[in-house]
Amino acid sequence: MERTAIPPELLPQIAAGDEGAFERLYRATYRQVYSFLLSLTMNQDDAKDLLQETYIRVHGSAHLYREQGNPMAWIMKIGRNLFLMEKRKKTAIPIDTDTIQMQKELSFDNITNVESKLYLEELFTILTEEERTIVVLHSAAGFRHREIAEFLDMPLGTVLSKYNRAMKKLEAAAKKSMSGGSDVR
Amino acid sequence: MFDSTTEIIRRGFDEITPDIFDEIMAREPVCIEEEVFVPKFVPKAASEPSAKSGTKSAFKATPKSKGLIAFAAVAAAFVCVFSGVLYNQNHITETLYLDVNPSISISLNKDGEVVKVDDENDDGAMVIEQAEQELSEADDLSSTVIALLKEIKNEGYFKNDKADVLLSLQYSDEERQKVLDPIAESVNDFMDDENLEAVVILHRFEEEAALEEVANKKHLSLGKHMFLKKLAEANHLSEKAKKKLAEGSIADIETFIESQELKITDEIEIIKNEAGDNSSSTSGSQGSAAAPAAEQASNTPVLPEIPVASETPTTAEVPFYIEQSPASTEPATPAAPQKQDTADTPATAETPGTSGVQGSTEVQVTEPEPAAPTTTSKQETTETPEATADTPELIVDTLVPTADTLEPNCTLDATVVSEPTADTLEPVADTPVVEPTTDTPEPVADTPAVEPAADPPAPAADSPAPLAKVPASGNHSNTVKEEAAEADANDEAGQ
Repeated sequence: MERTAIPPELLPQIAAGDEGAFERLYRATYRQVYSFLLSLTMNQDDAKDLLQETYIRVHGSAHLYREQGNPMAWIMKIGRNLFLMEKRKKTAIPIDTDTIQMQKELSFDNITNVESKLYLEELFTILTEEERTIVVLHSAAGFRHREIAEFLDMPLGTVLSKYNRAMKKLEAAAKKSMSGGSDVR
Repeated sequence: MFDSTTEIIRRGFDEITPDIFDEIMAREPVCIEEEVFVPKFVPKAASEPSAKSGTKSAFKATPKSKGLIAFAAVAAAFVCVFSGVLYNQNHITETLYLDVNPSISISLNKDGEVVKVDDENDDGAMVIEQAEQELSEADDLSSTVIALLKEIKNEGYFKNDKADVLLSLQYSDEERQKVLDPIAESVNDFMDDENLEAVVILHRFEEEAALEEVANKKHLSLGKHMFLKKLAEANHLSEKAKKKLAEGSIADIETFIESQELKITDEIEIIKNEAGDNSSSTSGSQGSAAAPAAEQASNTPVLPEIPVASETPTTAEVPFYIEQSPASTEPATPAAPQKQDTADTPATAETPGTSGVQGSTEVQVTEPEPAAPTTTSKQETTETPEATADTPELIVDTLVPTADTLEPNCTLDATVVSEPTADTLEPVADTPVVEPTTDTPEPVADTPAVEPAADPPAPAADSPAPLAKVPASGNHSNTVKEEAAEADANDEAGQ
């Protein structure tokens, strides 16, 4: 598992108007942030919009950042808050069911690695929202279990149990799919 | 363990992530001033002294500014109070782990209110799902625990009116340990009301200690992991023993503690409730979890005293699976060695030399089934092949202490030495059926099981629970003996 290291001086530099520092921060983190947002939205377009919005907020509020733990968690929190705001807006506006159906479709066709494609498909199908978030935060975003527990305000033991269970489910489903098994859901 | 999987997932996400840096830079930059909006008031006079006021007080409150000040003060106070309340409400300070077989964690805030209920295993998830309605109505920790216990009971986890529950409290502050006390009381009342014969193990551990242990925790709730860790440390149990106990239910663990008279620490308290009867509590400070003799005599299916170390068992020690009337004064004879399903061992009489150890083994192997109702007749108890088939495998593995599950300095080693294994029973296999009697010296001499081997062989991995045969000891009723002989005959016929 790859852990994203963000140099501590990056955010003050961004706050001081250093665009280069902002690009470095973006390059170091955008994949992780996107994977987290995708796990929340389950829609690539929405995740992309939120990603853009998140970094605009990060850029605009870098001066408010106070050094505490992992800066990734701070960025993720901004992304999550934006997602929640968006969700509230969407629930307030009635959308016809066809649109919802279309929005829910996820496409992983552009993933070249067959195994990765399969795992991601299963990740978004068989796991619960909570399990998916934990797996993504650990596997894709590189959060430690303790950081996930803090981020999700959950006991550490629960995070570990859920993570292990989710990974087992995922592996079993992926193996079954690879061996040509039927639907595991 | 999941390293490759996490890598596969990460690669997948990397491939589908769009790079939108240029789009971000093309957007109009925004500057966010404050995370939380608080109306600001800058007194006009402070920044721009009025000519009229001269050097004296620059600020003169107008009715409008007074209103703004009041508004700002109220807003600030509201933000402070509201954020403080939110923090207190959602910040987890304690976690109570409830383990039966379903494992569930209940998170509490500083005020002892339930913040959330989480499953720690699949059974726990099912229980929470089923108890959703009751949990939504539960307004405090006690009612939450009781709602869960009710559901656990309804789901049939408390077999034969026996309930074994582990309640582990992970606390952040020593003062907060008392959170567990009213819960213990409520649980005890619940067991009374439901007329359950209960053993409630209370256990407390510090958050810091738990965090250090998280890495070692496998698929257990943190509460159960910490409990087994302390138990293993206090009794020098090996990793293997710990692992096997971890696989067992709380009932299995409790049986093991009691049968082996394991030491328990001060942080552990065992409360026994004999089927609707509020009774004794054994705390860790007393050093042993063994029930008082009076208590043992009070009911039928309690465990007998298990011979430990090199103690020679007395004739009063009876394997618990041979049901006895509480009033019975007939001296009991230790159990005969049980025939292994896989070996063609005919029933043979118990030998004095092996009795203690053998008895100990039997108890451990057969204990969980006696979860069996107290009304079970001897014949029922000794219906072996079926009973064996139903006996969970883990019981056999878990509860039989073997040389390799106990560390060398463990006092239980001596008990282990003569554990019947495929090897130890082999010589007996060719022995013809011997009329059960307590003084048959021959088998003792020939049976290597009595030799305290330095490195006794581990029990055969695939050997079924040695419950296939009826114990043929002197104190058994004729029915039991007859059944044993019949079972032998059937086995022989089967071959």
